[in-house]
Amino acid sequence: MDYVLKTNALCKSYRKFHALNGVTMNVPKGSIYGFVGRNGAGKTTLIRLICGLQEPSSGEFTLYGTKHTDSKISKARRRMGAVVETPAYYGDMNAAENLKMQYAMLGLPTYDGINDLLKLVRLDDTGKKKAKDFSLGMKQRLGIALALCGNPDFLILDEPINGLDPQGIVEIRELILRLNRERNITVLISSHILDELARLATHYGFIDKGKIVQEISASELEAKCRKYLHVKVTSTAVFANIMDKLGAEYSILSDTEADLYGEYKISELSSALAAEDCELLSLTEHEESLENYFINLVGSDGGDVK
Amino acid sequence: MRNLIRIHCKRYLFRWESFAVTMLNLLLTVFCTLAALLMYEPENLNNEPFYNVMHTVSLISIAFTMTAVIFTEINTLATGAIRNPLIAGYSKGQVFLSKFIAVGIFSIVQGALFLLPPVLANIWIDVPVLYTISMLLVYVVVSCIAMSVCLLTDRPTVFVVICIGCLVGLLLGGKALTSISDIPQFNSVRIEQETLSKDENTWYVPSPQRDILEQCIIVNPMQPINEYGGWYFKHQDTSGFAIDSWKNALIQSTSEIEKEYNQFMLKQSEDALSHHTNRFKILPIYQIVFLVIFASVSVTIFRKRNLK
Repeated sequence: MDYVLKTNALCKSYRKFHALNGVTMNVPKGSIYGFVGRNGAGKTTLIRLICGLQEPSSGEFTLYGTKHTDSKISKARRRMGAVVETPAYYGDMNAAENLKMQYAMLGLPTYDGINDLLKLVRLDDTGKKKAKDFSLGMKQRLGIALALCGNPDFLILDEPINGLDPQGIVEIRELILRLNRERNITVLISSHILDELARLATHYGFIDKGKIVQEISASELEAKCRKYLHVKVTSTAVFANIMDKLGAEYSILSDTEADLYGEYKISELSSALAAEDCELLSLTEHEESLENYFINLVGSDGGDVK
Repeated sequence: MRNLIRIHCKRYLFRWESFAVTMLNLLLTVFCTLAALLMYEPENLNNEPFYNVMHTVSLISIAFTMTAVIFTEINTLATGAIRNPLIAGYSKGQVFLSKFIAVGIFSIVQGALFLLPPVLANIWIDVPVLYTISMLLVYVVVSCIAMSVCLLTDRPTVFVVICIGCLVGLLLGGKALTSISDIPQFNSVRIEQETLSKDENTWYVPSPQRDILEQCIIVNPMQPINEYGGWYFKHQDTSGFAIDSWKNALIQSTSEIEKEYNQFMLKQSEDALSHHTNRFKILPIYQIVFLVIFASVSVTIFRKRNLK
């Protein structure tokens, strides 16, 4: 498999704080790589290192096979576009002027393609409106358009849907999918909004406390995501006693609700509960979400994954 | 790198803040030309009020230029646009140096707008080229320091205030040192009983301390402003007049002691004038050395800086 980005034991420390603690990850060519982690897990730090905004404390990464210490890394970065944290633009310029600046920066001979880019991100009707007056979604799309200048084949998007309204989220999602499918652009997208990521990603990298906990493809994840039963009972204390006796895996959600993992015969379950005076009120089958999978993987202490 | 310099120049030259500062500098130069026409009298040996006005106005012009640089940089940092060239594959060194060069060009343009019309009007007497170069370099030094402070710190506003404080400190410190160096060696020189009687000034700084003092003065990148507002410009007419007078007196000397006295006084007048003229010759070189060292140190710090 070809990899666009490979990191090896990448570390970044700020004085005594270790933001990245030996990150090893691989982004396959043509994939949409969902980079999942809580706030402060190290997602943005890793992206900053890849973009050259900061230097690693130790370890290495290669971009298109070029080591980050190699002088040719600048050339490799020319094949990449990125939106880090917030879109970077000149607020006193309109969308087209911003793109012209980016074209000039990249040394592109003509401004051909600017209109296409504006159409692609649906900013072609903004006219002379200055970027500082754009809505959050428009700014985000302008950031993506800037990242797409020079036809990169690797796009890094750091939390691209943060703060967007539902329509904005859908627009960004569709745009990313289109870029991946139509232009075969590899996308590294970091987010802690897992529901959204689950609709896009073909590969996942889970990061926690500066370490990659797991790398997995979407199909592998699908296979691993367990089904569970969401049960409502009169007393989860009694339910827990019975499940402990059966050796079942479960999690208590409230005094009356619990999740039960594994496969069980409903009649047996119902009669076991009835024997202990615990009534089974309702039962629904669910598939474990990416969110649950992530929480099970890294633990639930103080996280803010949505 | 050329592309980067071009776009940074564009950023500096085509912003409304820059346009406003350009207009203000043009207004100042009109004001200075009017001041020159109304206040400066070539026949008058004391044009001090005119030079005081010009000194103050030049400081205002420099402050305007620095403000435009700070505004542009803070605006660029606020929207994260500094990240774009790095992501586009430029190194931090290239980004910093291209900005440094663009700021240099911008400040030279602003300085030229203010300085050239009066210089072309031939007001600055015998050192217009050296004066113009050193004053333009003051614009460059001040603007580059302001730009670097914005890029090198996380709290640009706080550090810009500190930076302005440092520049004012350099200005006032340089002024104080210049005043000390201008103290003449002798309070008075008289002919008494066929000999020269000299009253040595107790405040006069003797060698080798004088050499150290002179070094401290010329390494100050803000010194041309002090020179401009200082002794040289205010007294060059009187000094020139004094030199001519002592030369005439020397020709007409009737005795050896009178000749010795006139010669001594002529030398003192010439030394006083050439002292400042020599400084003008060397100040631009020191300013360029300062800029090179400052740029090198700043690039090194910027390359190590963790950008967000």
